[in-house]
Amino acid sequence: MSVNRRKFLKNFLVGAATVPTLSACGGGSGSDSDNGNGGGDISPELPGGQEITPTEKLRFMVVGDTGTGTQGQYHVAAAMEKVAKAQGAEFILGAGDNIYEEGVTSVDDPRFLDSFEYPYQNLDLPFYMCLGNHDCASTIFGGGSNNKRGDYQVDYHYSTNRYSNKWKMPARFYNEIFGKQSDGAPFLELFVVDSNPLTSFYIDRDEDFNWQNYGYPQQMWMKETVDASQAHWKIAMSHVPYKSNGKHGNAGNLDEGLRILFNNPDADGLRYKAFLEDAFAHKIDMLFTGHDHSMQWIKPVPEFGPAHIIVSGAGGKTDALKEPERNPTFYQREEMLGFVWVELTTSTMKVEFYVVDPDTGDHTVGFSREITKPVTTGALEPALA
Amino acid sequence: MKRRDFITHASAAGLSLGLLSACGGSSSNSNSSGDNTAQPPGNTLDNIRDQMPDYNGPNPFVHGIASGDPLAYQVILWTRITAEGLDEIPVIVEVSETPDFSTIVYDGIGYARSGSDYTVKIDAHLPQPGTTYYYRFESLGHRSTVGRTRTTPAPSEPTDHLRLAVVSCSNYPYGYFNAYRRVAYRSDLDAVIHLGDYIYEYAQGEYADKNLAEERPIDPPHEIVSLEDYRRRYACYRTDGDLQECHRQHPFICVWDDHEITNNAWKDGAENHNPEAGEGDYPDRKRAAVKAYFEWMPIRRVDPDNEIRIYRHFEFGQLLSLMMLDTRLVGRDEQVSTSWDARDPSRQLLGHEQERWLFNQLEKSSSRGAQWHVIGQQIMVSPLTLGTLPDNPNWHLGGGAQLNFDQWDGYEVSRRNLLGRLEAMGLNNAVMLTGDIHSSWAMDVAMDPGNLLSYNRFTGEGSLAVEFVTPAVTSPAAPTKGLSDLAAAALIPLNRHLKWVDLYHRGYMVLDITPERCKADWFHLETVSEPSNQEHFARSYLTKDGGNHVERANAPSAPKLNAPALAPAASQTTEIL
Repeated sequence: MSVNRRKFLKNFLVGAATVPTLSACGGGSGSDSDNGNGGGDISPELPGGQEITPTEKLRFMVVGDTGTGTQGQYHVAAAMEKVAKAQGAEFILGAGDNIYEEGVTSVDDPRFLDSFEYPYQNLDLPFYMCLGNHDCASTIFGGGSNNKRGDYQVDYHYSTNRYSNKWKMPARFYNEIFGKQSDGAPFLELFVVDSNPLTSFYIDRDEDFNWQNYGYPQQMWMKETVDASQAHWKIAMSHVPYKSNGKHGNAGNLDEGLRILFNNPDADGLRYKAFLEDAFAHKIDMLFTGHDHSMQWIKPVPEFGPAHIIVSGAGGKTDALKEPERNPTFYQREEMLGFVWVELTTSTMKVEFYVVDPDTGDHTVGFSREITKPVTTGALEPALA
Repeated sequence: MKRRDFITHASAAGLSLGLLSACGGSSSNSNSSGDNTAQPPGNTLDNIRDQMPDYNGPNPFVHGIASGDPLAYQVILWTRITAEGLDEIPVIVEVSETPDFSTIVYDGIGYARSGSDYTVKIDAHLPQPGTTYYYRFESLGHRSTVGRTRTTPAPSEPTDHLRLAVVSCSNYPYGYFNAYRRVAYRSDLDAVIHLGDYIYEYAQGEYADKNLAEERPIDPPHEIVSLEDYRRRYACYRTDGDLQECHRQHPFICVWDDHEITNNAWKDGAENHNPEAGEGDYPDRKRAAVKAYFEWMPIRRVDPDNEIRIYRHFEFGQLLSLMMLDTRLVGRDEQVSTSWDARDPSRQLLGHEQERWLFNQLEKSSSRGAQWHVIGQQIMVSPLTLGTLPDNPNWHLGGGAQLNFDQWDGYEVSRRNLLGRLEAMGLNNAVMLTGDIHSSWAMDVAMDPGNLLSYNRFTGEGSLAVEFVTPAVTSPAAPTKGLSDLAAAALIPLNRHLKWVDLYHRGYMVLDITPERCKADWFHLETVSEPSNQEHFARSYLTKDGGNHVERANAPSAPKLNAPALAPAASQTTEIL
């Protein structure tokens, strides 16, 4: 494409390359306010002090619940390759459950190959990954009671022996910046939440992951990071939905009817809901989640502000919508694989839902819509005293 | 020097207040506020005095004077002018550090207007935090009695001792306001917290001590519905000498409960609102009640764009952050009647905005290093059940059979959100103050008090906060002490977090706060059936720094040494000779 694009990519790769060194010291535990940070502090200046070319357009794809290593994941990967080629894409967001059914147990676990590297072999783009409940589980049920296991997925980001350098997860929760505006501030900032410790079905007996030691510090870090962000676009990604018409449902009442099987009192996501609203409401433009294996574009809700809420959890498995009327939507699709393609300009966002047939692998555009940027910059209301 | 500068500023501020609230009235000076060099001719205090309307009537200050919402450098001063046939009446206020007014540290002007029922509120700017001041109003050739008020210690100031009286549920026709009189005479209080049910809406005889019908008749005699009704009801209460005296001696920090509107009020309705009985639309009634409340109570409007917002916070030095909530009008969903419905996750008690505000305040309070985080609110936070069972939200066990779904028991998710936040923050030293229920209680606040694994009733381990419930000034609970003792004997074993309850006595609570502990002393009255100054110390519970559970104490806290003098008794005449 254009010079802009090439410049962007170069800049982008420089940025990405510095990520590990910057945050390596912090590790992945996220217990103080610095180490969740993946790359937000990277200077926008190019090496050599060249003049900034503002980003005009940014495209990416969002896919969740991918890590099956089965034909479905390969079908979606193939469709993503085609869309990336035809429409362009600078990076990919992975909305969690990266490795089914019970995550990985070491940094050189072959499941990194089976469930990530091989299926996306021909997609040469960075994947910004988020942890899901299956990534932090010790049983195939995905109960999420082994959060420590998620650390291997952070370690993989820093591994020198990895198969490719596509996997981006600089910390369990992190932020990342993309592109820049004319004043050097980021064009887009991504905030990635580690939702499993906040909502797991079963209690993790590891005290490092309880609300006091992990959930609340993460919440404060996220809130401060979003508040401090100078980015034009702000997008958050988490695994567990804030709103969903699938079987997992809305935060605050997650897994209604199933919770009787769970022992974690936080499994309904009441505190998780407050977390998301606290950190993101009225500040971000979009929230992407997975967890429910369907595709949904849910309309903004008052308590979350103008943000559009998108569930993209059909990257490897399919599911039925449990209650299609639970939240009003622009679009929803069940029992099909798929992913979302997004194009951001300064003032608009275009969101396209791609539906992939689990049997044939054929892909079609299920829905496409372009709207103006949800959050108008500079018009944020001052916080109430 | 500084003092004089300050006075000039204060005058300018007072003046501009008057102008601002003139709303295009008679004052036509277009001075810019804060410009203290340009004193507009015609609005100096002396000129105001000269231009007072002609008036030959009696003392116009019949509803007393009051102060409230103290900040480090500000306090609301309130009065009302009763002068038939007059409107737009200038009212001067003067503030001094001494009851003889030898030096004036602030003066200001307000206007009594029909549009606000002739009430006057002036937000006085005062020179010193943590200081007692005396104030008096002047209008129509009369001077009000002298009032006493107190600024809070500055937020950054180390503070070693605070004393706050806590009252609620003052139903005029149900008895004499002896509690207010007792509180008035406690000269060492920093403020009085009123947790609501300051007035009651009922018609004469509907919720009253029948024996007092002649001694304490209420006005208007019908149930209050319209703005005029609410105003008359406040006016009626404010003729009470005990209440006037309490207001005169202490700044109040008030929130409404339901009866300031009507029984069991919620966002969009109330148990005692009956449109079919000609009581009109609820929003109209709510608006009327809220307007009258803001007219008559010494409360500061915190959000000019939100007329219904009373939730707000106060900082008393480094010792205390006080957060006052509205659990009635701003966010409450309708009451339900079963435990199952009470657990509906979509139900709200505080509403999103207030809840978020509260959580932010808790964060701020914690990060500014406040020692105690006190939440003043209306209804019981802790469960009240006929048997506390474990309450895992996944299993809908419900924690036992709740008795009162008008309190936090009816809003299980809201409670879990609040307690969950306290737990996640690891916040120490949170204290809930509660009214509404006409009785005295001391409780641990635990997430799941019925669960032996998460709460130990003997050590208090697992408790996240404490709750102190203040009894009513007059409203009744158990009809006899015997019944109260029986109920207490039944309730305490069934509610493991409950340490003490008295369902019989009227009275009040004194909250005595030091860096080491936050202590509640309950004082109970001998009677409210006749004027009486007899009270006795009932009980005392405290929570130690970092303890987060209640422990019994044997004696009430000692009063402060060198408490500032009470405001002097009213003089025979109010006329300025």
